[in-house]
Amino acid sequence: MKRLKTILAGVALGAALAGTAMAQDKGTVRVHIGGGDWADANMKAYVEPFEKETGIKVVAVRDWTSVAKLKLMVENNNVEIDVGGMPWLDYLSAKNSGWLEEIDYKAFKPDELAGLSDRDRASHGTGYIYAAYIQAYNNQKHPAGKRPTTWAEFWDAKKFPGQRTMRQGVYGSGPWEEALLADGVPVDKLYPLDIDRVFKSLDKIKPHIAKWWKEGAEGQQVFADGIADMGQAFNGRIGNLQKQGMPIDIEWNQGKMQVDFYVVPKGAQNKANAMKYIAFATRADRQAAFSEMIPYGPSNKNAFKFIKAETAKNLPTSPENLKKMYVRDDNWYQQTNAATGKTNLQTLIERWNKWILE
Amino acid sequence: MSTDDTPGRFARWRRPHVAFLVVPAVLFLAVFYIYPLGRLALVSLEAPNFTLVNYVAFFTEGVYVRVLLQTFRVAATVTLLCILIGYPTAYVLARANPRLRTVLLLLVLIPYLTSFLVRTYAWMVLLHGKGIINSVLLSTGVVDQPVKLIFNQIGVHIGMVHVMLPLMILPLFSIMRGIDFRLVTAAQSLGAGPTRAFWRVFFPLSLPGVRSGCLLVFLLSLGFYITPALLGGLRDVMLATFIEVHVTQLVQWGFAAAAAFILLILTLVGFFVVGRLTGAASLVVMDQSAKAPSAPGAIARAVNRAWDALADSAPVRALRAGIIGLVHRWDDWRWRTLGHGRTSPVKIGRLAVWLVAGLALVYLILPTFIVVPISFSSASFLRFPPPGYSLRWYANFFSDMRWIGPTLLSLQIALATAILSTVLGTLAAYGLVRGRFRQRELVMSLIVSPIIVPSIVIAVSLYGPLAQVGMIGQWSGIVIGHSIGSLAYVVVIVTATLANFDVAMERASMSLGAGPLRTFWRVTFPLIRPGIISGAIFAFIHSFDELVITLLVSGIHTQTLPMKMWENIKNEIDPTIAAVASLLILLPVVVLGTLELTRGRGKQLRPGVI
Repeated sequence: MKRLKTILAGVALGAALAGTAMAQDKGTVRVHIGGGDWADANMKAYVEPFEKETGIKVVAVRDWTSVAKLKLMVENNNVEIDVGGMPWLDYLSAKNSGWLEEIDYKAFKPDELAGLSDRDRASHGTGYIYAAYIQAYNNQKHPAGKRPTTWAEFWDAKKFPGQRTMRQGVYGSGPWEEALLADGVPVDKLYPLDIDRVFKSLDKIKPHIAKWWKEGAEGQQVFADGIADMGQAFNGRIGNLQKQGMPIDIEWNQGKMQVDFYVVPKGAQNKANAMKYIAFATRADRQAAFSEMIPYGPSNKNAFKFIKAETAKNLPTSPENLKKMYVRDDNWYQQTNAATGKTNLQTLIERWNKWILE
Repeated sequence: MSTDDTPGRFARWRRPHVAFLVVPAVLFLAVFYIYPLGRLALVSLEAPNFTLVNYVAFFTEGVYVRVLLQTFRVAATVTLLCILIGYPTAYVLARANPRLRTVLLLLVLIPYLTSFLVRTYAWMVLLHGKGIINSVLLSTGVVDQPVKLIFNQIGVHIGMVHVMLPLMILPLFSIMRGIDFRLVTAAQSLGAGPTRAFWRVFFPLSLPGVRSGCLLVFLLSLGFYITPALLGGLRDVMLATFIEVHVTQLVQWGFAAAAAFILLILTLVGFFVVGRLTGAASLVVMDQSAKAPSAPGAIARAVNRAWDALADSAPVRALRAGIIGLVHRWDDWRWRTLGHGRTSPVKIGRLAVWLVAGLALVYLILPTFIVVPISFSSASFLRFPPPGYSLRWYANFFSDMRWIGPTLLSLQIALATAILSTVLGTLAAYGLVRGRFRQRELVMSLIVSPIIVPSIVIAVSLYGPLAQVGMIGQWSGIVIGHSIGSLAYVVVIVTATLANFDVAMERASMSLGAGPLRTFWRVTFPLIRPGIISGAIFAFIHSFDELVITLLVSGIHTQTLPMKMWENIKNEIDPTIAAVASLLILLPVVVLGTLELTRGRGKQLRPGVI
C-alpha cells in the first residue's frame, strides 16, 4: 500500500519532481488550472510558456477554486495554492472578507496593463476572462429571421412557440437582467435591479420553460438532447455543440457577460511569483493563445491583435460582439441593503427560493 | 445447558462488558465528527455573541420550513416505494438457487457502482419528452401525447428510488438469508395458509431487515439533492440544496450549520417519539432478550401504556380480529381445499412477487443500457444514440495516468475505508445489540447522524481539525472523512442481522466451553456474515463515490476518481466517464465471483441446519 502511495504521489508530482533542480533558484508557483479541456488550454497557453520564459516552476493543480475552500485554507493557515480563479461575484465576497492578497501591478508591463479595463485591474484580483449568457437556437427548428433576437421577443411565447430553457437563480446568478430587459427596461438603466419587477416578469415566462438548468454542463446537455430548442446558455457551451456539428446558433444581442478574476489567497507562500504569473496570463499574446482553444473572451483588449478573425466571431469580447452586450454588475450584487442588512445577492436568492414554491 | 439469563460465566461476561465494544466507534466519531461539528455549532450560534438568529431565521423565513417538510415528504415516499419494490425483490433473491442468486445480486449491484451522475444523465435520455420511453410509447400507440416523466415529481422519484433501492434490497436480503424457510413450511403443515404463514412467521422474522433498509433509505434521502435537482422541476428542491448554496455561494456557514442541525435534531426527535409511541420504530433493534424499555420518563411510559391499552381494547381487538381473522380464515380454508389446484391464487401471488422482482431488476439495470453504448461513442460529449462508434474513450482511460492513478487511489481508499468502518462498525453493532446500557439510543443516534447531515457541512467542519494535525492532502485524512459516513451503513445493517439470530446458539457454544472470542469467531461471525458483507460493500461504494468531503480535504497532490470525473464535468462531460462506468461494471462481477468461491463455510452453521 505504501508502495502504491509512493507511485501515486509520483504521478501527481511527476513533472514537479523532474523540474526541482531547475526550479531551485527561481522558486515555484502553485496554480489552480481547472479541469478537462480548460486545464489543457491553460497548460499550453500559460503554464508551459511561463516556465520556459521565467524559469519558475509551476505546480499546476487540476482543480477549481471555490470561496469555501479559500476561506478554509486562509482561516486555518493552510494555504495550498498561490493563484486561483473565481467569478467576480465570489472575488468581491472573498475580498470583503479579507482572504486575498493585494495585486502588485508593478509586476505588469505598462502596455499590457493598458489593455485591461478599470474593472479588471481591481485591488485584490485581476479580471482575465469573459463568458457570456447568450440566447441559443436550434436553427432547424428556429431558422434565422424567424426567431427572437431580444429578450422581449423571447418572452413572447405566442409569437415564438417552442421548448425553452434558462438558468436557475438558486446560486443568485439567475435571469434577472433578462427579465427586466424583456419588460422594457433599457440596458443602461438595469442597475439597481428592481427585484419586484424581475419576479413579476419571470411569472410570465415560467410556464414556458421546459428545464431550468443549474450548471453550465447541464445547460449544454439540454440542447444536445433536444429537451429545449431555444434558450439561455453560456456561449462556450454552445460553441462545444457547434464544434460537434450540431445545428445551433448564438444570438449575441442583449447577451450578459460575467468575468472571472485571478486571485492570490492571503498568506500564499509564493506571492511574488504569483504576481508574475498573473501578469503573464493577462498578456495580450497569451490570452489570444488561450482563446484560440476555448471560446471565451480575453480581458486584454489587445489580444484581438493576435486572434484570427474567424475565432474572434465566437468570442464575447470581440469588438463586434461587445457592442451588443453588457457586463453584469457584480458590485451591485454584493452591496448590502441598509434596510435589511442583507446583500442584494442574498435577497435575490431568498426571493428565488420563495418564487419557485409558488 | 442454560438458555435463560441467569447463571454461568456467559452471563457475567456478557452484559456490562460487551457494551464497551461501542467505545472504539464512539471515540472515532468523538474526535473526527463531534468535535469538528461542535466547533461549527459555535459558528451557528454566532459565538462569542451567542444568539439564536440563525435558528430563528430558519423558522421565520417560511420558505425553509416548507422545504424541510417537502424534504421529509420526499424521503418518506421514496422509502415507501423502495420497501414496496425492494421487499419482493429481496425475497426472490433469498429464495433463488445460488447460481441465479449471484446473477440477480449482480443486477442489483451493477447500477449502484455506476457514478450516479452518469446514471442521472441516462435517466434524462430515457425520460424526456422526445426520449426513448416516450418514443416507444408513441410509436406503439400506447399514448398519443408524450407523457411528462421528467422535470417533475415523477422524475425525482424515478431517479431517487433508483439510487436508493440497493440500500433497501441488500439489508433485506441479508436478513432473509438468515431465516429458516422450513419454519414457513412447518406453519403450513400445521394448517396455516400461505398468506397467514407469511404474515405470521416469515414477515415478523424479516422485520429487522425492513427496519434497517427503511432507516438507511430514509436518512440518506434527507441529505440528497443532486438527483432531484437534475430530474425534478423547479419546485422540487431539497433542504440540502439551500444548505449547499449557503456554504458555497453566500458563505454563511452559521446559517448552513443551523439548518443542518435543525434537520438532524428534528429527524432524531421524530424517531424517538415514534419509537416511544409504537415501540417499533426506534433506531436500535434489540435482540429478543433485551426488550425492556431503556429510557425513563413517566410521560413516555404513560403514552406507551395508553397506546397499548388502546391497541388492546376490546373494540380495536374485535375489529382487528374481525378483518384480519376473516382474511386469514378464508386463506386457510382456500389453502386446505383448493391449494393444490393449477390456477390457485397462491400461484398467482407467487407470480406477482416474481413479476415485481423482475420489473425491479429491469428498472435497476435500464440506465446501464444507455451508459455502455455511450462509452463507445465517437462524439466528444454524452449523446444518445451515439452518432458513431469508437474505442477512443477506453484508449483515453488506459493510456492516461491521469485516469489510472486516481482510479487506483480510489480503490485503495475505498478498501481502507471499508476495512476501518467494518471493524469499528461490527464491534459497535455487537455492543449495541448484546450489551445492556442506558445510552444505546444515544450511541445509535450518534452513529447514524452523519448520513443525515449534508456532506458539505461535514466537509467544512472537518477541514480545520485535519489541518491542525497536518492531515489535509493525506491519504489517511480522506479515509477518515469517508469512514464517518460509512460507519453508519455497517452498524445499521449488522445490528439488524445480529438482532435476528438466536442468542441461544451463542449460549450453547459457551456452555460447551468456548470462550467469548471463539464463540464470536466460530458461531456469531459466520451467522452474521451476510450482514457484514453487505455493510462492507456499502462502505466501499460510499467511499468510492464520495466527492464533497474529498474535494475539500484532498489537498493539491491527491486526486481520486470522482474528483477526476468532476474536474472534467465542470467544463465538459466527456464520455470517458461512461467508459469508466462501464469498466466499473466488471468490479462487482469480480467481487461477487470471489465471494461465491469462498462461500460455504457459513452454510453449515445456518440456523435450523444444525
